[in-house]
Amino acid sequence: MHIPDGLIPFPQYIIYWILVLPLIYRSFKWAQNDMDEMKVPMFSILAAGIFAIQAVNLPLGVGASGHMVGAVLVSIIFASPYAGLLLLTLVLFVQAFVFVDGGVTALGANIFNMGVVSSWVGYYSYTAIKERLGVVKASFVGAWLGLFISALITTVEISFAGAFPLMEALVVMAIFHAIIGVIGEGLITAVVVQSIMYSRSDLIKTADDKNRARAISSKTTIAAILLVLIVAIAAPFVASSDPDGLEQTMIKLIGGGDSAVVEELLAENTDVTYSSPIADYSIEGLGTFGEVAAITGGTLLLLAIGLLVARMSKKTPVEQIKNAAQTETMVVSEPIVTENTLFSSRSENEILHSATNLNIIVEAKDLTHTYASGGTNALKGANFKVCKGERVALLGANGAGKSTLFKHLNGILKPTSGDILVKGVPITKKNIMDVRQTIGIVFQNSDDQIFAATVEQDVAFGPMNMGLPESEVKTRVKDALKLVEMSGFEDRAPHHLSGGQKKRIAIAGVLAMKPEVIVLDEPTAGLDPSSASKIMHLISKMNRSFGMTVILSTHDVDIVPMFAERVYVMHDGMIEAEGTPKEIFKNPALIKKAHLRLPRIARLLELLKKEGIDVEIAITPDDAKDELMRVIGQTKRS
Amino acid sequence: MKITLTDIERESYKDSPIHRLDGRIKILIMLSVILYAVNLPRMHELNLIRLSMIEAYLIALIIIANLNPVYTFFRFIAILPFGLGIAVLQPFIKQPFIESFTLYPMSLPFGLTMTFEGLEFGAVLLGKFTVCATSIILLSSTTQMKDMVVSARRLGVPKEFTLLLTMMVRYLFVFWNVLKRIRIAQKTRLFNMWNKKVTRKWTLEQIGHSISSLFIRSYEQGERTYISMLCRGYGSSQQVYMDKKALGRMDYIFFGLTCGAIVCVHLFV
Repeated sequence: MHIPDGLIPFPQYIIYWILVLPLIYRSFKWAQNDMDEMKVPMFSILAAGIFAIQAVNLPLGVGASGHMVGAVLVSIIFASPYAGLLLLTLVLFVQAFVFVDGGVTALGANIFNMGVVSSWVGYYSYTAIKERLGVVKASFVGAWLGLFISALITTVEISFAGAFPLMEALVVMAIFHAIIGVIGEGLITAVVVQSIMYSRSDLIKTADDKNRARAISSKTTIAAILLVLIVAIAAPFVASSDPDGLEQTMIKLIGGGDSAVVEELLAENTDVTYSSPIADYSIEGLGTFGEVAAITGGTLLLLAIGLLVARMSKKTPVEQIKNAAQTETMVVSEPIVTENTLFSSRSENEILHSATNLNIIVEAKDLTHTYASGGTNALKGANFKVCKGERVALLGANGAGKSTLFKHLNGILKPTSGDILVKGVPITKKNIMDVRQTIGIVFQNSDDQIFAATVEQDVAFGPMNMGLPESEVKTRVKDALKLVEMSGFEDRAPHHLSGGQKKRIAIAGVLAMKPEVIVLDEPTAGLDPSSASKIMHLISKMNRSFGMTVILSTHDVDIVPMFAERVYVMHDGMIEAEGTPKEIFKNPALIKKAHLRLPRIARLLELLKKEGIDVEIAITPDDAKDELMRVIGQTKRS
Repeated sequence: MKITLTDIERESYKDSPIHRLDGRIKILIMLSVILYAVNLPRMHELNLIRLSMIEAYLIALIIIANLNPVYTFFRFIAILPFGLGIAVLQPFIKQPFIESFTLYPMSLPFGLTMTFEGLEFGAVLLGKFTVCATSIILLSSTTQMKDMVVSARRLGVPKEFTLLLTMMVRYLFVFWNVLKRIRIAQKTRLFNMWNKKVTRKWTLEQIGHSISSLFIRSYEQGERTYISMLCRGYGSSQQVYMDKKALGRMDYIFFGLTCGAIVCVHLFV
């Protein structure tokens, strides 16, 4: 709940700034002393990440706010609520000035409510119960309580401004936030913590050690909680005289010591009957339910304050923490597969046959696409056709529009004009799920695709979305991992995989959906030669053994002749040429225009030709070998 | 229509007399408008007229800045719900600071009553929200984020803090793009929030994984960036590079104009 400008009176805004500024200053000091003076910039990057996380959260639509997930989470990880405050200060600043989320003068109030209250309440309730409940459950409670208390306090503040009737608003807000706190903050934070435990357990472990060094004894905590509970529950009963003691105090406060006023107020209250077990707490028009809700809110508030007091009353020296970050290194020795044994072109006839075949599986007709933000990568009328079972390569320089074209093939992007036909049918809202099942895309950056905590979970992601039964999902995951030769890695965190392994997991994730067409965006980019050749071997296997249609984009001209039956050359958003690799590489003007070059082997033969040796230009090592043998044979004979 | 970071960036890269103003002046203009609106009394018969005059002035600036009207409208709509909700509530609430209420002659269900005073207070609240939001929209749509941070530094915000803000702005766009790519990759594998074929628990877990992977990625990006900063000699006592820049004639004119407008509205309306 971001307070906007103009809601509460100006002096109230100022009070928050006065409250918050020293705390922000202290959080800077904390970051410099506790973390290491220079590590502070890390926070800004983390804040940027939290900002993006908030955008993930938005479609939840249950009021979960990512920046609060961040507050408690970061407090837990850095073992201090100052971390949460520092982070939220940054996030809220950008929100106020750029996204108009929460006011500018109200920034102090918002930092107080969301940064200070939620971080402190969330973090200390987490540490108090962590030993008993475990990290994940404790983070759930911490995040939930942080949101709950923060919402209640915000409500009280707005009521001060006269815009809310206090009690009614408190009850409504308490119920509302108790619910969205569970669904939004609590669950999300817990799930994230669980996931982090899996992939970077060292983060939480380090924080844990820090905590242990500082932790207050559990006895003190329990005593504090009990004390608060006793006071909160018992006090009303004890005070239940006519009018009760608490109320007398209130009346005296309101009367401001003026005895006449106090007498009058006391007299007014004598006719109240105390039917409720909760003394004179009856809130008009709410009934028992409302009263119970209100008292629960109050108790929780007291509980939080109690915890805070308990924390502050005991301080133990902070131990020096050794960073127990483990870096797992994996050495996988793989035999280098020689490329020339992998791919052999089908005969020209076969290709001609397939090109004129009516069995076209995916087709783009006069496809244009302009990005709203302008710039490069736009499509300017691309025509593209792939038949079932083909191996097609899309060649082109950076920014030629290859990825843009690919994103059209399964309806991620909608054409500005032109058509995409999958099995002869245009993509509609109705068939889009089938289309995405038919055409799987493996993205260039595996990190964008692999996001789950373990390899198994990630590969299961697609099949699960298809609604397959669990046993089927399991088999598919197993098969897919076996196919990419990554069996045994099921429980591994993606974080600990090498680039080549990540790429194979990304492919497995798509394979598990059993697509008819697999589209790979620069599958070998950034991989070492051995990993790259493994990937190409795998792709070729998918085509040969399973009849899968393969479309890949690349600018590795050495691979193309060995892999592709047909090549499309793309330049500046248009298909420049189409043909067999031989046809394409025969055309130097085209190669130059598309910012490509000849394969190394062809270049060698070209140089020999210039020397006056009578060789034909070949583009694969195999053909080149034959050609050279022929020439050598001739020379020997002569 | 959903307004994203990209839209805000696109608008802020346009060129107009307002875009060309110094960032400091724009921040000051925004602050003075907000301070004036916030400090108007809670109840005063001239409040609404004054607020609408200021709003008209801001809209004139938006027109000069050549902002896309559809964009401006949707940005405004996107931030309104909470404020609007509070404002709409007001006629039905007996505000503690108002002494006597005049009931609105209309019978309402559930024993609700509407008051003229509440109605007026609600309208004033809405007016204040509108003016404040418009001025921030004007600032953020005509000033690039990096300029905003530099201007804040020039206005005296401590350099430790502006350094953090600078880096945050830089990586905001990085992670914004990472997020977009993750979303697309998930969509490709049929992920949908409301997919009935999977349990809600599973969906929630997947969202949790996406968030934690973003979180870890930003954490590690932080580590990497920090190391690369160290490699280039980053230390705690470094000076942030910032060239001095004098204010131009247009800057003074616009600042004077805004202050003049506020004073005129207050004194002569």
